[in-house]
Amino acid sequence: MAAAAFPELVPYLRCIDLGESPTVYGWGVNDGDGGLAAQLLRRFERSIHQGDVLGPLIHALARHPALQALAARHPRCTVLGLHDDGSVISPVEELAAVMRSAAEPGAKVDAELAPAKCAAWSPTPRAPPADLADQWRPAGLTYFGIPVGGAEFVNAEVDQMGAAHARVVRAVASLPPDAVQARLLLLRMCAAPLVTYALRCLPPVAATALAKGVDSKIRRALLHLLRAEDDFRGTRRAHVAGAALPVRMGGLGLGDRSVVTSAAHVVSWLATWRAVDLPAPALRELVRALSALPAVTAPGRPALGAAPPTTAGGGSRTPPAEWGGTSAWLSPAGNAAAATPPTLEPPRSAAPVGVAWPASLAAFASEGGLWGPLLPRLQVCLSACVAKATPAATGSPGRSPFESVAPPSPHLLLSLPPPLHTATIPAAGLLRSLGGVPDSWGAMLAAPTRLTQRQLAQAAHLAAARGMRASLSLAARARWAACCGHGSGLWLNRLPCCGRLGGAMKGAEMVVAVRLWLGISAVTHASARECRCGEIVDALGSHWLGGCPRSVPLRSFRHKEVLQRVATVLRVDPRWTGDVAEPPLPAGEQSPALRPDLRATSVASGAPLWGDVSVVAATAAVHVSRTAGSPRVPGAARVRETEKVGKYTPYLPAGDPPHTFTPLVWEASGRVGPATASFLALALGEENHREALTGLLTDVSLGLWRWNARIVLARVANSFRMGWAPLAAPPLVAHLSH
Amino acid sequence: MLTGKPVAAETDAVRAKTSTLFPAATPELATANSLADAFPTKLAAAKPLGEARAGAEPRQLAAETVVATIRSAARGKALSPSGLRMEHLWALTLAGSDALVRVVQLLSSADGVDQVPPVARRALCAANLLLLVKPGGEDAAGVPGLRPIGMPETIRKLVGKALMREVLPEARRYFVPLQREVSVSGACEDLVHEADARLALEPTWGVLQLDFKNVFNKISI
Repeated sequence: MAAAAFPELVPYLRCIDLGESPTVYGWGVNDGDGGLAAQLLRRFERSIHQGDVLGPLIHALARHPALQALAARHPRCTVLGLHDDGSVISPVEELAAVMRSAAEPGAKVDAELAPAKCAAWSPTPRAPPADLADQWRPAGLTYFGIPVGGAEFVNAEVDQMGAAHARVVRAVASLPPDAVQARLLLLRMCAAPLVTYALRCLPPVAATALAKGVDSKIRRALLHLLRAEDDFRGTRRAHVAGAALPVRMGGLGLGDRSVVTSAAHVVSWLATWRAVDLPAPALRELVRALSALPAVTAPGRPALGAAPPTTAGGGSRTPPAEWGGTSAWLSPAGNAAAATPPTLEPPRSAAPVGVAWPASLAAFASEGGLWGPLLPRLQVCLSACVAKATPAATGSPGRSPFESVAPPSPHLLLSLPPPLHTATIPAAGLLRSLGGVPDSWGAMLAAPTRLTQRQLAQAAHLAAARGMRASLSLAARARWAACCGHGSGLWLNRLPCCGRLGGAMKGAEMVVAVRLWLGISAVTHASARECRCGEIVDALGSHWLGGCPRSVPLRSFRHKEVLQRVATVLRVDPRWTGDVAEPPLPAGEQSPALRPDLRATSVASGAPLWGDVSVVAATAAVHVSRTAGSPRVPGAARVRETEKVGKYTPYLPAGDPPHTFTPLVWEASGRVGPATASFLALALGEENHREALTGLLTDVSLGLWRWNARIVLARVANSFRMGWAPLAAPPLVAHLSH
Repeated sequence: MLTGKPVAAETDAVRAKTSTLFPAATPELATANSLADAFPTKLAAAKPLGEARAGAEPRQLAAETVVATIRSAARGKALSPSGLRMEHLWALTLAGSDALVRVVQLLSSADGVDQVPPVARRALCAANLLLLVKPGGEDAAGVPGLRPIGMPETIRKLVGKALMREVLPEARRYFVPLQREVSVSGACEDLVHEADARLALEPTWGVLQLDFKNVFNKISI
């Protein structure tokens, strides 16, 4: 078959696969003589080799004639194959014959049917066919991992999915208490996305129930991880709401499955329909029918004057749960529903421009009935998706960092916040070009490129974030803005490894850092404190991260860690030579001569470079209004860069080639200054050095947040809790005070 | 692994069970001739597809295709039997990179059988095997179900990926709608939704799931 359809593969198969039975190595077996381990386990003598990149293609080639023969023998049936799985949709009376037919051509390619492991089901309850008694599953079956069947069966399977998810969360929670970083990563990367496939494929009602259960467990685990069980209820609620936002919006991406459920389902269907060569006539017909459905503006309420979907002959709207139970399929128990599928009432107004309505209203109504509960279900799902993407708060929320979150870019530095003049873009990417989330299936299908789950989910998150932001103070908005953007959350993705440069954070520091990231006080039941310098400090300790004279020693450590990271990366880069961090003053120079943090020489041009590292807190009092006013711009970093350039440039030594200066400025939350970003992109950003650039930005981000946590922890312990003695006071005084 | 099963224990019983996973060749297996006799029309229908694309003369993989494959290969993958990783190949000098492109072209060309010595072919065909334990119970001998994961040689993977790049668009046209494993992203979701739509139109119909015994390791190619 390969020789006929894909002759390009034949030389490879002759050379690699069919020349000789290849060897497979299993585990090592000690030969007892201290020599090399005897590893030989097996030889592939037939079929496809495990691990071969072309294995799936070759397997499909070998199986294709058998499936073709089966489809030709039963032309009314729909034959579907995926790897070693196969399924056939046909009239129930024909299923037994199909199974017999599948065995015969399969045997010709040495594929042996296992009748005992085959399964059959029909949405219409009935007695099992005579030859399929063993295979018949009256309640339902699991189809590519998704339960299909009656409400009871689907609910039971969904419960099992929830239980499996709970086991993963429990396993994460059982890790050592100090492994906060690893536990958070496992929650974010493993536990949270575990049910995404199910959410995309399950019927919305079942998916919503699953998402609710999953979110509940994740939130509980998160609160335990962040030691927030004893926090006030409002604080815990803020934890949960903030954590549900994506990292790019200052959240953690945890506990947001309920928000994205409808978006996931909508996008999954869209992906099926948007295939270039839509294979199934049923899908093509469904696309046509959906394109004619009216737009929606609110859950269950079509826009443009059209009536909501109603049951035939009934005046009131049927709840979604009754449109086939919790299943995508007709409920076995709901014989009446199966007999009288709900139909759509014809629209009362003219069709919107660009939507092709059926020829007549009667045809429209009958088409709704033709599809049973599927069309109303999809329409309700779209309504939910649009509703979630619609902000609940009335009035303009003002300029916010979320309105203009740019689409993700493969280039790390290009994805940093854009310059000031683009900061008020109301939306971004495809959603912007579409003017928001499309409110009809026709508009969804007509989108110029495929909508993704990320895009629709982002719209839902934007709506939630706008609602949360409306009640925040200016300082809180500034803090949130400083945590938004693509560069600031890199530290959350850092894998903890051993060693000084391993990127591991201690448990207590990680807890504090994450709490600060979410805008929650570093310690439980925190209140305003009075710093030893006399300033009143908010619960987040913004004063200590920049501006407090008492924190200078700790902030110097933070500065030094950033400097060492930059110097290390430049030192190993072959395009730079003579890298020196904190070089001594040139001989003969005395104070007040300037000493840059970093010196290096470009190998290509021979030009000496001066660099000066600085970390600036965007939440410091002097920067709050700037950061809150232009949230997408790292304004504090930009100001500091300007200051640095003005300070060092006049002192650059003359020479040929001339000395150059670059500021290396980060905001305390991890955002990079624009000039710094440009320099790093030039110095490290080439294709072969992308890893170095990514690693540097991640490590600096991690170092900044580690030191943020340390600074706040240390200063909290050494400050006055309004009216109380500091914890660092003599023990007796502190004890009496507390 | 958080909740998954561990790798299979290194016991004789597990070793013996692998013989059922990878059965030996027998004389009664299907051959090219038996397949041609069993499915003459299907083979005849496939021939024009291959001839229209490949022509009469066997072609060589374009150097650009090979280079693009090498550049886009994933990092951090499993160690191959020789200890080679993609990261090693990326570190080659310019001359070494050119040689690597030529090796990939050779292995995918008709000259490969003649020019690549058998000892090298044997080495390139080798693979490491990881035997994971399937969820579920154990058999009568107390051996759990095994899920074999093969980890072949890196250069062989490069050849396969480069060839896949060449045939992917045509493969989709050839296999869809009957099979979705090649060049279809989100294939499982497609199938679930297609079945959903089909049964919504025909609620009195049914769905039959077919299961073949160890078909990936047994089917004759």
